[in-house]
Amino acid sequence: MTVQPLLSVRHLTTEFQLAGKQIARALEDVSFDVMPGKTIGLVGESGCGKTTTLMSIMRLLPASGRITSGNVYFNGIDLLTLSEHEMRAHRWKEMSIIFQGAMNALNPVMKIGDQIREAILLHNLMPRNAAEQRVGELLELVGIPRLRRDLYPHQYSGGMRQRAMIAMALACSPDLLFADEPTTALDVMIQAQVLELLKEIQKKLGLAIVLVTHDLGVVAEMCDDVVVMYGGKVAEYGSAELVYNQPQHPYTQRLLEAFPDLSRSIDSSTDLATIPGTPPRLNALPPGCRFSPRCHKSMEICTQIAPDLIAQNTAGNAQHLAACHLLNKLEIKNS
Amino acid sequence: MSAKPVLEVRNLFKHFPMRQSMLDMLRRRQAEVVCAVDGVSFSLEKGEVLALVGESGCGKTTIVRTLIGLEEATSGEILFKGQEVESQNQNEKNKISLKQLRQRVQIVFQDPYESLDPRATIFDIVSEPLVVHGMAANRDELHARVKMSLEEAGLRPAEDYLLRYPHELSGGQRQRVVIAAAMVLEPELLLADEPVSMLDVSIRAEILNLLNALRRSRGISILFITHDLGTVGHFANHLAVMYLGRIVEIGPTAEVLKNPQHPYTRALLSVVPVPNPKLRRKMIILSGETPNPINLPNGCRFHPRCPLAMDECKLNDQHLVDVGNKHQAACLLAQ
Ligand SMILES: Nc1ncnc2c1ncn2[C@@H]1O[C@H](COP(=O)(O)OP(=O)(O)OP(=O)(O)O)[C@@H](O)[C@H]1O
Ligand SMILES: Nc1ncnc2c1ncn2[C@@H]1O[C@H](COP(=O)(O)OP(=O)(O)OP(=O)(O)O)[C@@H](O)[C@H]1O
Ligand code: SF4
Ligand SMILES: [Mg+2]
Ligand SMILES: [Mg+2]
Repeated sequence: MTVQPLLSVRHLTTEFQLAGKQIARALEDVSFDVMPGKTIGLVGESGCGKTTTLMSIMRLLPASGRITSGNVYFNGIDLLTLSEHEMRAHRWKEMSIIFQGAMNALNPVMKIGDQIREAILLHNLMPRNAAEQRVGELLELVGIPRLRRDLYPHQYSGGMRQRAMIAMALACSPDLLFADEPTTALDVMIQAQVLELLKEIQKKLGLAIVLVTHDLGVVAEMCDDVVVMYGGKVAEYGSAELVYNQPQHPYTQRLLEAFPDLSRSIDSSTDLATIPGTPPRLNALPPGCRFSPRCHKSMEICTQIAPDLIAQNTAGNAQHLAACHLLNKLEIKNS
Repeated sequence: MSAKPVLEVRNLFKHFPMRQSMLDMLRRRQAEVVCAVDGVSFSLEKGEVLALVGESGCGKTTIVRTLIGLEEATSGEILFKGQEVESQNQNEKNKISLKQLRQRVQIVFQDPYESLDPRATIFDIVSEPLVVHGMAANRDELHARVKMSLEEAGLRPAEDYLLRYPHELSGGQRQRVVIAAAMVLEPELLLADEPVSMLDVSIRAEILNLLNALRRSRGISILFITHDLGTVGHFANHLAVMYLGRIVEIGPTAEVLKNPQHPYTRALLSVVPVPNPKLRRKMIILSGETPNPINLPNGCRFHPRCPLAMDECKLNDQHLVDVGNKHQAACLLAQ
């Protein structure tokens, strides 16, 4: 028996309307699966489309954003075919999100416990005292003593505020949690505490997690699978072990080389590897492979034809895909 | 005889008195103090990088602010190239004045989005220090020096940047502008307070390499502050680990990282995410956050969170002891 994915994203393409009728294609042909109870990481440099991917799946794009094609199957239902009213049965209740930077956007004049209670009541019909009971449960789940419910955000440290955000996202016991840069603003020890908490909660509740971050180290510690994004497309996708230990796409390779890794070397006399240039502007995307202007292995075909995401040879049933012309041997021979 | 160190800090203390309520004052209660920096000594040689690492709130920024006179030291000595720095603008004899110091010591702060005035052009930003210190004889010289500094910071050709505004630059370019503005006075010492924490992997590598290049070409010394041990291995030749206002371990970077003696350093090292899923190891996650340095514990100040604490640790306040190879640690177990 094979386990069915909880979430299957297929060929997702999202555009933003810019001033002067310009269109920015923020996502193109993004596909990946999230298995129940597992963690998948979305990584890539700032602006590569990580947040847009989450917002598209949750159908929370701003008015200027539009999903132009693709499917998002959640438990087999294509969320993109649902009416907004039907969508509400799934959003927050079955899939929930911790927004990027949200811990700094808590209402400063409202007690933390009240904010969590309002979140519960917004999506759930239940009496106030039952909701209050749930606030206590949720706080305990994330390791905050119940007594602290009456404090205000400024009386919480950064780590505690992020715990409160996690509690709020879990208000309706979802099966899938999107966490957008949940530890970026925290120092390393507090980051470790929050990540450990997410693992514990995952085990306890059987939660699937989509973890968005630009920190390759955090993904390696947390995730079963990884999606490496570049310029709104999937560059490489597969089990974390394969992507990190046998990276196939030049972008993934360069990204890993640029990441300071104490386990590899401690040497202050050598420079770190860098990736020259900057990610593409979405309204002026290069033809062909989006990475080609920065790629040290770029060939003529790379500037003309966009490479497809193709499966790499892997032993067993681990999957590994990458989109690079170098990996398509046949194509190279013919050109 | 070796030359005098560029910076020498001896037994530096910075205590902040807490605000007292009227009632407490009437009762003649003693005011509580925040012991932000509590007896710190280190020195920094020409052309070296000393990394100062520790959790949020351990006193890193307070040291920087005290070094350049933004805070007045409670006690202790600060020597710049062997000459004592005056504590406030008092024109003390034989001491180097704060104004002179601020020409020769520059700071780079964390956030490239907040540290640049959005209404000023890049030329305005980089020329300002020269104007303030009256360091350019005429407009031509001003232009020449601004251009040189921008190009040295990797913004080439400088003409392309002079008239632009910060919002027209990428995050990495903005941080380069901040560095260009700091380098334009040709300082001998750079204080870099979390200069790369907010940046993407590849930009982070670029900026660290840039600082390294400036160190090599100009022989500049750098005090590099971070909460992330991951970045120091490739960059700093010396490493000081701080806990609650004190240095608890110090030595050559490779020596401290390969042979950490203080349990706090070991914990900090263990939570640095390693970009390799095969190398996941047990993290030593300390509970809670760096306590507030108001009511300092007796004995070793790390003992309430130390996984190895023994009874003696509650009684004996440990000071730094030599453990060989120019390496010192403040722990009973260190040898
Ligand atoms: N409302 C919008 N209108 C126009 N363009 C947008 C909008 N939101 C995002 N974009 C663009 O879409 C691209 C993807 O943005 P997104 O926020 O998904 O990136 P990200 O990978 O989450 O980056 P970061 O790591 O900085 O959070 C960017 O180029 C961004 O400028
Ligand atoms: N002006 C002040 N008055 C009172 N307490 C202060 C003041 N400035 C700093 N502190 C306290 O001193 C301690 C050290 O603060 P500092 O900003 O130096 O820490 P840090 O190591 O730079 O932390 P971070 O990594 O969060 O920047 C903290 O407990 C802080 O609350
Ligand atoms: S397709 Fe070409 S340009 Fe793109 S990553 Fe592969 S080699 Fe580089
Ligand atoms: Mg984002
Ligand atoms: Mg600080």
